[in-house]
Amino acid sequence: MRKVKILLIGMLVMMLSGTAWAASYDDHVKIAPNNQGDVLIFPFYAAIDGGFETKLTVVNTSRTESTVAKVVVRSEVFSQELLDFLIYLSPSDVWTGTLRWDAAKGGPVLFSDDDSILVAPATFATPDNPVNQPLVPAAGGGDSNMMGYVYVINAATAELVDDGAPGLKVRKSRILDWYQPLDDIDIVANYPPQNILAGFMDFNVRDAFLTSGLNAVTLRDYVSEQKLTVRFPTLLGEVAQNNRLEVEAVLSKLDVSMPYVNTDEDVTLHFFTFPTKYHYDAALRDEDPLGPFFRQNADADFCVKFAYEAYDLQENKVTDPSPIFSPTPPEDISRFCRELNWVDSMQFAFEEGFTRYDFMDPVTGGLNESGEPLTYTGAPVIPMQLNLGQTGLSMKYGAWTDGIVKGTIDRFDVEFFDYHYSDTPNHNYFDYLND
Amino acid sequence: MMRLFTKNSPDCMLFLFCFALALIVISGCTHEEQDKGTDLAVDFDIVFSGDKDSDWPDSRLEERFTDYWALRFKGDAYGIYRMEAPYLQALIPEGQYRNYVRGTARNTLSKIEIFDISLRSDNFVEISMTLHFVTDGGREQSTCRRDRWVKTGEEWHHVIRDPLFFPAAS
Repeated sequence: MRKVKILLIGMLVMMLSGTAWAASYDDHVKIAPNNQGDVLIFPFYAAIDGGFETKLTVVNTSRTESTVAKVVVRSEVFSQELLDFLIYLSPSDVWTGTLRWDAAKGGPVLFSDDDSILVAPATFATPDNPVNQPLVPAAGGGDSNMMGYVYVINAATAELVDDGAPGLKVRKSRILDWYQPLDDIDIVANYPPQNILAGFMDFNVRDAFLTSGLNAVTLRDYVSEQKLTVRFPTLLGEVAQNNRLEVEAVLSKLDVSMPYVNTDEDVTLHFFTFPTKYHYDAALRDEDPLGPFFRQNADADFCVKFAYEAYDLQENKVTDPSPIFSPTPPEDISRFCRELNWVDSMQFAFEEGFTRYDFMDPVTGGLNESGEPLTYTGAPVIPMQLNLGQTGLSMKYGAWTDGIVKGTIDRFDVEFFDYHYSDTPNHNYFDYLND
Repeated sequence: MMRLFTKNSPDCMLFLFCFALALIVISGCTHEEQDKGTDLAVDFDIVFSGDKDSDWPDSRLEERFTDYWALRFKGDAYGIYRMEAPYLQALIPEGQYRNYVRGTARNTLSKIEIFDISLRSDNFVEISMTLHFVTDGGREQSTCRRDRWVKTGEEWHHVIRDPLFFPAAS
């Protein structure tokens, strides 16, 4: 009888403490509208032998904290890891590096003469001794190392004191000496990564004065819980406070809209990056693509279906029903099969307008890192566009409708409003329950 | 009443003077434009470096290569568009091509450093090279390229490489 009483009391405590169990709903990875966070995703890079190159800039915005972050370069078709490395950032520090094609090496390289990156063990790069590291060749299947995407994960952050440096500066060797002996437990307990990184990219053909820039897509409160090194691949949604389902949920979009120009002088490319698919790593593990969205919603080839409608400047679309003829032209349906996809404006019927891409209401479900049910609608995609025209080169992100994210609290399905950007509405929900 | 010019009226003289002036201005502009395309004074160096022994497989290719880069840095989009492979001229709108290359004229080419010339076939050559140039702000810069040339008929043609904007060429 005593055992039954203890069991009942235990169950009552668990029921009443439901909100504490839901900490992960209450504190999850989010898109950072202020562009400062602990994960930066550059949705596109090109290092093409015809002249295009991509300069990456990562800023440590903290005035007091030093931090170590891992940069991962992945390929366009299968997300093959092409290069990864650590950067060591002192307070208010910036790292820059350029992915470009190198004639002497005969392929794409990372070039950096910035002192935040190692050129050899315990030796940081300088203008006289820069990093000029080739990307590994793509494994085949139509993949390439000349284009892809890049992400940066903050690994560990600390307020370091460096008696050997002038003023309040911290030498890179001091950061390296601090980071090297750390293990996972040290990082989780004492040096968790902070939301202090900002990222910028410049895409250009320097000899042609074609250049355009874009911020990185910035996530905050991701919180890696691992000592990141170059020995093992680092994938979004692994060994962190947020799993891949949660990363996908904040990137989820029901539809995407982007303008285009399509004339003899102007061309627009619409890009769609799926940074959680990880086809290549999945193949190494003998699994389907790693992103839950692709396992649950992609077709047999792991491609993502979408419908699109191109509008002109007078709100006309190709699929408008004719008042005098039938049937109505069918909606255009196509597939994205790569990790980095693009659509050329040449296939749109009008000279200028916008295109709406609809991912046809897919639903993805599973458990978040805390083991709670989480579902979202839409596709985990980053849309951006590149335009070459009379005014030069320009890049910008698309507009979209956020996917709907739902959880289960006290056996009720709950829709998390503004889940992509904030915890606050969920706090309000808990307050409501507690009142 | 409609006012008419008479042969010797001051208005007529003024009109003829303005017309002649306009013609001079227009022809002057045209002449300048044409000069830009035909003045092929090459004021940059072409040097070989790298481990491999490289040489031009065909002196005509060397000539065309030199002309192409001289024209490109002079901003003659019209001229270099016509040096592209005929199938590219059919696929790439000239306006898009012009927008793609026109900024090059803001730089001054100082040197082309060739690392390797690979004869992929009798009619297809790849040239790995670095362009060294000075920006209009006076800053020395360089970029690397793998320049492609294809022989169609009896002539070498450039093959512009950009899988993004000109995927047909890649």
